[in-house]
Amino acid sequence: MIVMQQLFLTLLNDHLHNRTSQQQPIDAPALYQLANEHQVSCIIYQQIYHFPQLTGEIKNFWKRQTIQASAFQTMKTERFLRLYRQLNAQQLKVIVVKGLIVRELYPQPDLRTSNDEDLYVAQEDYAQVKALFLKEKLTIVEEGTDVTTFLDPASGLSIELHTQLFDQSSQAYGRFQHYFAQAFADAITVSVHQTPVFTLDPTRHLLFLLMHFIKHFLHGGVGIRQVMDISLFTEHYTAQINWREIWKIFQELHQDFFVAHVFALCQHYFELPETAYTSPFTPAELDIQPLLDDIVEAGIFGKSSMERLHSSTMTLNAMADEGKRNIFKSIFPSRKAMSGRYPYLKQYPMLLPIAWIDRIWHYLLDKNHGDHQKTIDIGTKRIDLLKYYRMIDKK
Amino acid sequence: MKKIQDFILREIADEYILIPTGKTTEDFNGLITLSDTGAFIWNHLEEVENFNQLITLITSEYEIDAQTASQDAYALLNQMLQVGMITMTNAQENW
Repeated sequence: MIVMQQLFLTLLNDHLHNRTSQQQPIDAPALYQLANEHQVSCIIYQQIYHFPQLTGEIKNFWKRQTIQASAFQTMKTERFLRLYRQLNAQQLKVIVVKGLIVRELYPQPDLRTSNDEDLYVAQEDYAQVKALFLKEKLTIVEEGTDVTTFLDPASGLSIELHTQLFDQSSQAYGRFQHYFAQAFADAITVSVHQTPVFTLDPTRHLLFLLMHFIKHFLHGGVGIRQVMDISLFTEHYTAQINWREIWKIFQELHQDFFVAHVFALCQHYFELPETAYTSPFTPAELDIQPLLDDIVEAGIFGKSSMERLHSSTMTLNAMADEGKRNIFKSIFPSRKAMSGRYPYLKQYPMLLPIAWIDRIWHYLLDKNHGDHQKTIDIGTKRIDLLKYYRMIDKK
Repeated sequence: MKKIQDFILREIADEYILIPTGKTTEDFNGLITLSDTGAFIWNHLEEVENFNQLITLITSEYEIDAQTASQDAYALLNQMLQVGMITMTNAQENW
């Protein structure tokens, strides 16, 4: 696994720096599986298609999938920009976060595929944007309190329209939202394929990428693509980032030690210059291996296994409870924690026991929930990781 | 020659792919793979005024004789004309 991990990271690093990878022995099926779990299979194929060991059925399959996925991405990006030009025509200030903005920093943007595009809109503009999307024949997949998911059936483009970047009802990361109160006033414009696009100012965008990373780390985990995004973004925008502000905020949140490790990973594996970020910690204080192992095992957004996904209830509770390993609370979460899935609890809090029963019932009926003991083991191991990186107190 | 449909040409893992975008996706729901020379023709077909100019351009770029270049280019352009990807801008006899 260590050899595979090294090869995987080397290939990704070569890609980020637009270098041809040197031929070396590969276990193609295992490499494909790892790349697919991290949603970087197009990037890895681009790096290895010339390797003589890559032949036969798997090469044909991987090639076909790379061409289809990246062409699909090209079509979705083009559709997104056409829609965005209409938002501009109506003078709607809608902020594009991560996806499109970071993708454009890659040497071949369409190989860095996305499931959806994220837009951040002021509450007062939400209805107008929604009306425009519906007029453009997009359909609503899901309409929640803070985020609505739209799908363009013609192109397959999926858009998440957020009125909040972080769910404020989350006890683990709800407090992140208030750092984006000035986001619209400070938004900048970048040009993507000749289309002016509003996005967060670089300091706030990096803050968002790191907070989004923390959010997913607290859920099932993060994939390597998020590390690549942060590395490229930091290197590209470093001169425009208020580093004092970044470290001050993560110190306030007690996440500075963890964030220093994320940057150290970018430096060690993706050649982010040390001068591009100014870590308050010395290299001797940092140990990136446990974080890297967790990331490689996690797959994209921690979706490598059902047990890992389910273990997020434990890590989120641990974060909310500052380190207490509370299995009771994982089974019977608070009304606040339950209200995302059961919105009626906001109006009828007395129905909490019914929501608990429904949740347990669905969990037991779900044949895909995996092994209970394995879920607890992963959750316990990951809580120890949160403590190791000082994200929660060691209690 | 003029392109009358929206396609984006991408090089993906040593393959040249024409990807339909915009309204074109309603007429073409697949991808078109081009050879190296095919991609070169696609990139330059709006710059030249006639078929001979195109062949001169191809033979100056690739180690290929004029007859082979003519046969290949003719076949490709003919296909593109038939499916409505391109149209003539000059009198047909120039081509």
